[in-house]
Amino acid sequence: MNMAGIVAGLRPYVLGLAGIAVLTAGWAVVAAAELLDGVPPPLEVFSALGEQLTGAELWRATGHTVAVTASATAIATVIGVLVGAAIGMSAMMDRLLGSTINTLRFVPPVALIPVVLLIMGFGSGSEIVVGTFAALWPVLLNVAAASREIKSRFEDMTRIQRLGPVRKLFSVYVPGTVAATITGVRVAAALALILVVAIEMLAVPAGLGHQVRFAGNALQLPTMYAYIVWTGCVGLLLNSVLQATERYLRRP
Amino acid sequence: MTVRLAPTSAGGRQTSDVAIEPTPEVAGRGSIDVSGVGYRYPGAAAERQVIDDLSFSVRPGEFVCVVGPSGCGKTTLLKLLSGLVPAESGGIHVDGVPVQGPPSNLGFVFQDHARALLPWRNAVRNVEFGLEAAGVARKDRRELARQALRRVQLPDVENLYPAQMSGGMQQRLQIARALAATPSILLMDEPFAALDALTRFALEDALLEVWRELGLTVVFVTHDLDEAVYLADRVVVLRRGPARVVRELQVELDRPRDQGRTRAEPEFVALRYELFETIRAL
Amino acid sequence: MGRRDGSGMGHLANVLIRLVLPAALIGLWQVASTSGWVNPVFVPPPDRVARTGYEMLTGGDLIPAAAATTGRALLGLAIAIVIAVPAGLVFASSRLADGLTYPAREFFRALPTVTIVPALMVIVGPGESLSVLAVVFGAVWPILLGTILGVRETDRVLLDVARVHRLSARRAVVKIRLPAALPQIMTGIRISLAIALVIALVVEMMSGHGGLGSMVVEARSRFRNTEVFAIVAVIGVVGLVLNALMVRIERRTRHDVPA
Ligand SMILES: Nc1ncnc2c1ncn2[C@@H]1O[C@H](COP(=O)(O)OP(=O)(O)OP(=O)(O)O)[C@@H](O)[C@H]1O
Ligand SMILES: [Mg+2]
Repeated sequence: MNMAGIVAGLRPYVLGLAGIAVLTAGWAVVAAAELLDGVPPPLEVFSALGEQLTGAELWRATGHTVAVTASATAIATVIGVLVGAAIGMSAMMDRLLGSTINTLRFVPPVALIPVVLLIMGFGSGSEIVVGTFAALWPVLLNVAAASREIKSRFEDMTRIQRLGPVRKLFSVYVPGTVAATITGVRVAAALALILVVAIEMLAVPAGLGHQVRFAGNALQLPTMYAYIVWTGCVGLLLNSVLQATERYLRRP
Repeated sequence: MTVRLAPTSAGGRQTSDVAIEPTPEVAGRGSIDVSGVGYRYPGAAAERQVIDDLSFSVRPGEFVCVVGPSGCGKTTLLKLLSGLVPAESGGIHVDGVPVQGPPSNLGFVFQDHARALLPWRNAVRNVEFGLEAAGVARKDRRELARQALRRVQLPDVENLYPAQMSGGMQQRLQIARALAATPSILLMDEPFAALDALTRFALEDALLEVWRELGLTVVFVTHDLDEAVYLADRVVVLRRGPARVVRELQVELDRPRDQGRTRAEPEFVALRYELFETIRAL
Repeated sequence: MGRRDGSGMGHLANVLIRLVLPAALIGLWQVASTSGWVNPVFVPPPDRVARTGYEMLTGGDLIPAAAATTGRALLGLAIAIVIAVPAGLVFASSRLADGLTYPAREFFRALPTVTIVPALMVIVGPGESLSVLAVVFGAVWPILLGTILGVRETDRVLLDVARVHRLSARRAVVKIRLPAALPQIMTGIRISLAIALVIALVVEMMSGHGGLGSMVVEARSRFRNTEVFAIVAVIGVVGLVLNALMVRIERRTRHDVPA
């Protein structure tokens, strides 16, 4: 590769780093000049983050939040694929379930938190239920739309080819809907993470959300900001992994 | 869509009080001169020369069809003529002025009508877009847009959106948009290629009529050799890789032309045959 | 998921069939709670929830609370639109601005926005501005992304149309790029609306500063469980109504799909 090519290739990274540097510098100025109450300087935040990264607490909280988010996403994926395929492939099921689904999916999932806490208490179970409720709809709707599309495009072909139901499922529907499913899963995981963190902040005494809230209540501001930054990193990592998976599965 | 063949005699045409007449200063204009033009798409993998040392010219009021094998550079040529892309070498002049960007007296009808219309505007507002861009006062736009729609025989669709129109209607709408700003040159990129035969005949005749009435200069790219002979005063044949003019065929069929009669004339058949052999030999 | 049936009888049957599942679920809930499968203290039967809800609606603060929550969410959303659409235009048209902000944008988009609520609470203190600021912060990102993608993916042919009509760059933005991006911007706004409601509720739950969120937390802390269920039902209805409105607005801005 020639010099110009290398420079062009590096450009986004250089620009991006410059952007982050400007942002951090702005933050440092705001903190140093005390323009806003309770904003610790970045240096303190990063040293608090370093401290937490060497301790056990951050990793335990991260493990908890990630595990709960993953469970919620997994459960939502299973339910979403089954129900989505059912309403996508059968007009009868669509009529039976469609309007109920279209009602439930617009209920803000945080609204469920108080009710779920009443029924299930302050444990991981409640987190998983709320996370699953939030994560369900993107998977379900994507799978339903994709299988409806496959059905209308290939139904005649599969009849003429005399494919049996099992062959039809595995050689037409599964490959035809896998890309839409993974897109749904990516959106679902992001939503599940938001709700899991929210319920941790509000009620369940575990995970990253709890750590943010706890540090905030104790007015350990650098630690609180460290946890916010760390939660963002976890979200970014989660999103990148799923995006890479999606790209891999969608590759022609 | 109801396929309505355009009346070839003036009798059946709708007339209106304020017609779009070619303004006197525009009437004489519309010449195009291409000399020794070359072009490569920048950054394309192989940096292949798409057009090389291409020359031809179009007289004001002339109807020229450009034919050539697929991918030979016909669309690129129209983009050069309209100033959408700058020529790499050689010169392009419109009315004696070197082309540096889209000239104001030029209309363009794109190949892909579904993508060239503004989906968020209804028919009459799409036509008005051409007038807004040309700086026509707001109060005159609606009436001029309606006239343009009538001219392409689309009178009753004002409020339809492009997505609600058939391909033929969309292409009429695109022509109306290009005509509304009273250009003296019309560049058309395979405008009727995606239409069924009956619709295409109707649009060809509508176009010829507009061309005759407004005294336009038309450069019309097509794949269809019949269409080229039927419409043109002259057919320019391009060869591929890099594009160059290999042949220019004068068409001296009587006008006004008629879909049935003209296509049955021995001269039409002979020209078509000659054109076909020229292309086959490339 | 709407499929139309032509005849009147067919329509009636259709409506009935759609009601089968909700009716069955509510019936199950009623039976479970009155026959003691679940503890009726924690899960009150639906008829009691409905009665309590009705009393709260006619007598109490439920409607003002619902209005407060909705108002905060919508105000925050409106501010987010005003910020995100112009910013998205800038990022979509300037490679420098885009490159500088890309990693930061990705970070904030991936950050579960509720986590910044405690930080905002320290900075601005509990109150109206906390709610609105938090909503703005959460709602900005999807609209920003929608605008950037929509503007950037404007069809090349449309850009050529703008150029042969000799539009200046600024007029091309107003007349072509922005309207072409509108469907994607509207999708972003729809996603942001859901986020705005969630954040408005979370802030209320955390700060206890009025609205349905603090109402539900208070009812729970006083073990008024029937009220909890009733308020949650009202939150659901608010979400439904706002989304139905949004879908309608979104549909009215779209002309590229035949009606
Ligand atoms: N944007 C572009 N970048 C790089 N190469 C291009 C681009 N557009 C076209 N080409 C190449 O230039 C050549 C000419 O393309 P052009 O579209 O002008 O052909 P055409 O004669 O209009 O073809 P068709 O009859 O299929 O419409 C083709 O080989 C094509 O691959
Ligand atoms: Mg072409």
